[in-house]
Amino acid sequence: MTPSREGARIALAVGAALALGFAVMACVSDHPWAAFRALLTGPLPSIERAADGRMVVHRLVRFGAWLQDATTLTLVGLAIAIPFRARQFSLGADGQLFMGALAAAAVSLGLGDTPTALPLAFLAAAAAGAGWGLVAGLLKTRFEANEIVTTLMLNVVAVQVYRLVVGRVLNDPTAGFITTPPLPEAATLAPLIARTTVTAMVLVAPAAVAAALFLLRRTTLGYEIDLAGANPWFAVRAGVPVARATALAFALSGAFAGLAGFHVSNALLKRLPVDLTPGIGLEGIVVALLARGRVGALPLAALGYAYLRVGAQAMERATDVPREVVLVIQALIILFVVSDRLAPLALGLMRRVRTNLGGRAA
Amino acid sequence: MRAPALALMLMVMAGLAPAGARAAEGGSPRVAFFVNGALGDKSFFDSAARGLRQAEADLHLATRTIEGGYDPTRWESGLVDLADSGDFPIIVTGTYTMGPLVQKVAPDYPDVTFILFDGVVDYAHCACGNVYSMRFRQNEGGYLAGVLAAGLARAGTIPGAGEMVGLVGAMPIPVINDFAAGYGAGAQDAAPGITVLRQFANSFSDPATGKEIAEAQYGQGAGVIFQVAGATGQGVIEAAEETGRYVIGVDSDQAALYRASSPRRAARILTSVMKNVDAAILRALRLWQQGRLPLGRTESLGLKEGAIGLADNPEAALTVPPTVRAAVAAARQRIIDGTLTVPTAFAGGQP
Amino acid sequence: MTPAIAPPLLAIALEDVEKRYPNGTLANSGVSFTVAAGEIHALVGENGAGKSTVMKMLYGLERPTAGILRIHGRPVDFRHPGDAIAAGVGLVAQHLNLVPSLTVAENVVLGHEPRRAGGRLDRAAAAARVRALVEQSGLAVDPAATVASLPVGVRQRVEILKVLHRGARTLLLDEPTAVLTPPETATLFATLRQLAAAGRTILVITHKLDEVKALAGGVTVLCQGRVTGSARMAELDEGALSHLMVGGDLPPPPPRRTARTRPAPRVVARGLGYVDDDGAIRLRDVGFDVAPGEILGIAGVEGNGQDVLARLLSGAAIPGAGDARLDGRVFTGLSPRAVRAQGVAVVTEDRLHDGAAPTLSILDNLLATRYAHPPLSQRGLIDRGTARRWAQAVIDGFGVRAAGPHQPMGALSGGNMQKLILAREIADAPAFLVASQPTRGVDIAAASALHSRLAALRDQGAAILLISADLDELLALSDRIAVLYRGRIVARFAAGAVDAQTLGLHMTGLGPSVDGGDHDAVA
Repeated sequence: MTPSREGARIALAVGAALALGFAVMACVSDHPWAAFRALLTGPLPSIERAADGRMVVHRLVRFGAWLQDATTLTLVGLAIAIPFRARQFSLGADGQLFMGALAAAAVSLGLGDTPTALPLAFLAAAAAGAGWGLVAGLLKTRFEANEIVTTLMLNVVAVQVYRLVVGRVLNDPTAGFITTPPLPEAATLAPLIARTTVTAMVLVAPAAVAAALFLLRRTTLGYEIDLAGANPWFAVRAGVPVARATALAFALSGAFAGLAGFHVSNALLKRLPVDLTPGIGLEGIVVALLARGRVGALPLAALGYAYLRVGAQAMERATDVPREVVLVIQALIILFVVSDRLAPLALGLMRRVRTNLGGRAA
Repeated sequence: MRAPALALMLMVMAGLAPAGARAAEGGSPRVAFFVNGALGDKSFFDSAARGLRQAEADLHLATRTIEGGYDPTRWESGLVDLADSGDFPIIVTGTYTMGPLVQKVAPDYPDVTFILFDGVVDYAHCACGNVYSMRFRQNEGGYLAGVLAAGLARAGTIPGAGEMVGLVGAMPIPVINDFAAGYGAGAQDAAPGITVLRQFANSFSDPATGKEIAEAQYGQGAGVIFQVAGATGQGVIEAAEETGRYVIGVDSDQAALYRASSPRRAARILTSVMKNVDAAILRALRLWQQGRLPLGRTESLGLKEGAIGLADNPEAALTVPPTVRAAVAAARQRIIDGTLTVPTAFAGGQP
Repeated sequence: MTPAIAPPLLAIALEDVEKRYPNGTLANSGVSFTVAAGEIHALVGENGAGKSTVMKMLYGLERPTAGILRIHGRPVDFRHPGDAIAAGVGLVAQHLNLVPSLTVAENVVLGHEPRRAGGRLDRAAAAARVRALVEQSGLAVDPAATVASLPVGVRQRVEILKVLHRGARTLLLDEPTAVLTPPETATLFATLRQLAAAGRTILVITHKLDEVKALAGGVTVLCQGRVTGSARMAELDEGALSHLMVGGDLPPPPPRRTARTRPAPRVVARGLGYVDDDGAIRLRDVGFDVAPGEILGIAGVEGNGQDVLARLLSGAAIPGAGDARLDGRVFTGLSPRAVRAQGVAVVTEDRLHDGAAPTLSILDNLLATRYAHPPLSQRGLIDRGTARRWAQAVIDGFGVRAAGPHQPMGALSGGNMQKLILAREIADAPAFLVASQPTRGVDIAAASALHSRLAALRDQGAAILLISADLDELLALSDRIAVLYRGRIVARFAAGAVDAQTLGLHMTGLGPSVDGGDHDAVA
């Protein structure tokens, strides 16, 4: 499908989902229009003329939350989309993220306020995530263990290891809750926009996508991953090291999830609480689905999905629409976008109606 | 082609952004309650939300509760968003986890008043003249729970139970440890040499694990368990109902919460150590309305101030022998008088 | 002037039919032809000429974008196969569509089962119905046999029965002989003639000239989506027919190697054996030599060990016994990559399964065996520019009809795909090529081109093992032919000293054993 057709298809899907979402809102809300507007404009800052005539930007934090969320989602989306190229359904982004965050925090705390802390924490996060991903990859290629099962189980292991280390080893006894000490300032990223949590990671995410694209399109490893995914039987007969490529796809995916962990630890929270909630890795699946597995489309899909998530929060904050309805609308949009044949069907219908009308007019 | 179109769309939408919401509803000042989790724990957060509703009724304040969810990466932006919106002159939030975030955000918004309950900011290192924080001496309530539980266990009136009491905590964090410190001390004072079991579920929101731990403790012979575990504690109460033993609730009057929906369950709840977060928040808001809120400092609230107490549960109270009830009442009086100092888990001896 | 007689009733008529796919591809344009009731009509043409599209439109799988289809005189608009079946049209697809674990009778009635009260399958009624159908049609099949136990030729009969059971008066067959042995083909033709004699109309796609001659009463030739000729067989001689089909004269078959002195063998296989996971012996004590510049043909009915042999020689399976050497070095028991590194190339039997990646581009498919070496890649980076130029050169050099290197492989016709696969495999001038069914399902012109390439490779000094079910191909190309039957070599011949009939006997285990040992039997 051509990009423009694809664009029209997605626009139609989102439009249909929003229309249905509005119908749901109209049922539960006294002010459906206000709620709808909050949903659609929630992530945007508002620009107002202050009393002294200057333009003042309000709610920049929501804009920041949008970018911040999209950054994480892009990285975990990569973690899902890359094994998908090798036709592997990895659900391990969560565990890899936890391992990456833990490694980044440990390195940051270990090195303290030194200039090398930041780059080394970054690399440690990527390496820890990659290592954790490689475990799943090797389990798959060496022992033919189903990757869906192994990645889910490795998630459980990773979260428990994380809790153990944060609770017992890196624990800060002076804090009022179980957490690591605050990470040294030199190891953390400063916000790019005041009063938001937008850091340089917002630039790292597209760079990571570009790197992944380069790797997939231009390197022999990327070619091997593609071929292994497109037709593994053929790839084997052609002499492509399918097992190695598959295992490395998992490792690569883990590296990106690990960077998402770095984003959480060294850019957003700047210390790690024991009860960091699992689940963000699974959002990567949604993003990868929205991008239809295409790596280049991940940032757009992540921006779109993050927009929806932040808009939903804004709606919840500003109106009487309950959280559950917000989740329903989110799910609707995803459902519509990933339903391949829905939009072509609708487009075809519209074309038929138009020709019929045209015929009658003539 | 696509990028300019996107930019244009954003600009159009930015123009539409709801500026109106800010100045709306003029009249009564609006209070925001930011929950770093979700309501429905039948405990701590629900108690705080009750305080807000009470404030709405009694003080004619417009309140709004925002659930931030369990993902900690979204709390900071959630809090900043409330402060930044300009809609809320007062923001209420709680827990020690939020303390550092309030400390970070409050100096940027000097016009907003922050009420932080069950958490503190470090006034020495922050320009937090707009923050009022309250901490609770939950160890005092824990002490009374310990006296009650151990007294009942030693009386030997619970079939199948030994000389043993239990505690199920959410996580070994200072607040929970403080409850536990008081509980242990109360139990030992009431029944020297008694065994006190203690285990953590490592989650505030995992009733299944809570139930598992409680079943294990009851199985070992604990007659009474004190649960200090947020929503996890619901599992402990379930286990009490199923084994026919007793449980002491926390934060809210949990027997009252279950009385209508599940009377059998309510009958297993001897009492609840009330951390009267609702009353404390109501008091703080009233002081604010009167312009007498002591901003820029921390207040410590306990039995004496009525912020900590034991709930009455008439059904279960019949189970408790009069001598034990008398011992609890005596301990309460001595703490209020200051003749008894309960050990605390907080450094410096003062929560 | 003969007196006016009633024209024969037309079972199928296409009038100016056009099919344009949504992506703009014009598959058929202005296609008109007719088939009389009771006629066997052949639809011929190169791959990609639009024959299958005609079939699909007649069976309701595609809808024409213009023109009229008539079945028995009535214009029809089939929206899905159900409409076609209701109009008495049935399709016997090239890839058989049966449930292996069910019996013949169950497969035949599948979807139109006789049911007992309560909706359960009435097996007795089904078997009786199928028996009656077998008798009436003359298609010899045991209704109680399990499909999995039947050879391909019989399975095809089951497929035809299935179509007849649904009441088809008009049968469409898409390359029915592609999977059959010569005796099976003969049986099929007899069946088809019988069905036609009973008044059924048959439209059959084929590539093979002799089949058209043997079977059809009429022929229509398609080329690039248009009808280039339509005739009654009685009016054509073979030259005219082949001219019509190829749109020109066929190049002469590649000349056989003339050197009679055989150099030392390049490939030596001894005692190759293989037992599969179920414990069945699939290959037993197979040995042979192939000299440089020689083509050794392997004949056999499908499933007699040819696939296993090809897998052993390409590293896809490890022999349980024996080995094979290339220029003295053992190359069996290694990984496919290592086998290829020794100079072995492989054309696999099923190009869509393990010979290509249909979703990837032509370029990516061509790269598969060469991407890891300069000049296509250096230090792990693929040089896309060089690769694209090379792919374009291959497309041009092999006469592949394709839009360009970035077209998906799956969009190509079988013949073009096979050309690219062979091009990829011989690009590095292999010392030994294992070619399985290299022209299966490929049109005459493409097959001829592929044959020339194989001959050219042979003439460069490569050893070639040619495994084929097409005896004409084996006889035309091979220097020697060995026959595999139940996993053993049962006969060896010099190509000039044997004919298809004799090979057929050995292939079915009926010939006297003439295996004279590993090297050679007949000089």
